[in-house]
Amino acid sequence: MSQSLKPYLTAVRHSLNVALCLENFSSQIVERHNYPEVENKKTTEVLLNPMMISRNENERVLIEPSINSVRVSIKIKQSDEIESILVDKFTRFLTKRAENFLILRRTPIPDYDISFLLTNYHNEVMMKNKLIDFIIEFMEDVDKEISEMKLFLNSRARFVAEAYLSVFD
Amino acid sequence: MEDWRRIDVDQYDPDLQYEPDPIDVPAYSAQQLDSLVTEIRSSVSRGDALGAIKLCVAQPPYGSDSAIKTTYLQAVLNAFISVRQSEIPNIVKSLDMDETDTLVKLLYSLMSIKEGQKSGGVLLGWFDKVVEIVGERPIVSYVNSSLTL
Repeated sequence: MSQSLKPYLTAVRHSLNVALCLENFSSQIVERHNYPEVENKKTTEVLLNPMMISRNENERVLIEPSINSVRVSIKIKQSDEIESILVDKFTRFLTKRAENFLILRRTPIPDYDISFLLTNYHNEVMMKNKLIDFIIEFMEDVDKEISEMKLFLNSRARFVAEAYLSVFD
Repeated sequence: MEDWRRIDVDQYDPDLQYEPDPIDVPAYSAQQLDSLVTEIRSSVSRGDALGAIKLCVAQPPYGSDSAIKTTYLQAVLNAFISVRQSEIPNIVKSLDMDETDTLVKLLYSLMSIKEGQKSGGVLLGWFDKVVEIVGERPIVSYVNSSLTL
């Protein structure tokens, strides 16, 4: 693991650990409803200060805690156009299957690539430290995955170009 | 008569007719801030890292407007960058509880502005050391605090 990645992930881990103290909380606005408060933001007193953890300008995590839900949004590193296309395809692949991932939000919030929404129900059926581990692991793997795909794409493009252009040789 | 159908009636809702309680927060005018910023700068240039950090966390301008806050954060960022990595643990150890709380608050605020994100590595180094030494308490206090920068 690179030198600057470790403090970044530890910061995210500790912040998530603090944010994930959730309890069941019924809506104070509509009777018999139970929203993730961080999503409708109508009851300001149960919203907590958002935490932004940034490694550099184009790699950051936003954690928005509230009484019964936490929204974690990740901006994945994109250093060139190929990477941004790959990130877009990759996140779209995941968000299309959001129901299989349980905590994945269907659309990321603006300026971020992928968002997770953790509610008190997730916290009840799943273990808190495993949830945190999952998000950390996701952040570690997604960078690796994207750079691997980029390498693969480049070598494949070279191969294809050689195969096509050898005709004109 | 104006278009009465388009009047926003919700603004006359009695539930919305209250003014928030004034919270007693330290606010600086531009001149007061200038002197504080120069003081921080001079301790940075003297090489007095602990003094500079203590000044930074003593009384942040929670109540001031955003322009003043940004100037303040800029000065704090310079102080954070000037400290050597090896000195950080000793500085953190010599701060008391309130001061570490404010330190973490400043770190989070810095990480959410552009200037701070450019030197994210330094800030994360600080954050890492603080959590290692005092644990997660300052994060809890940041999350619940109504005084933010």
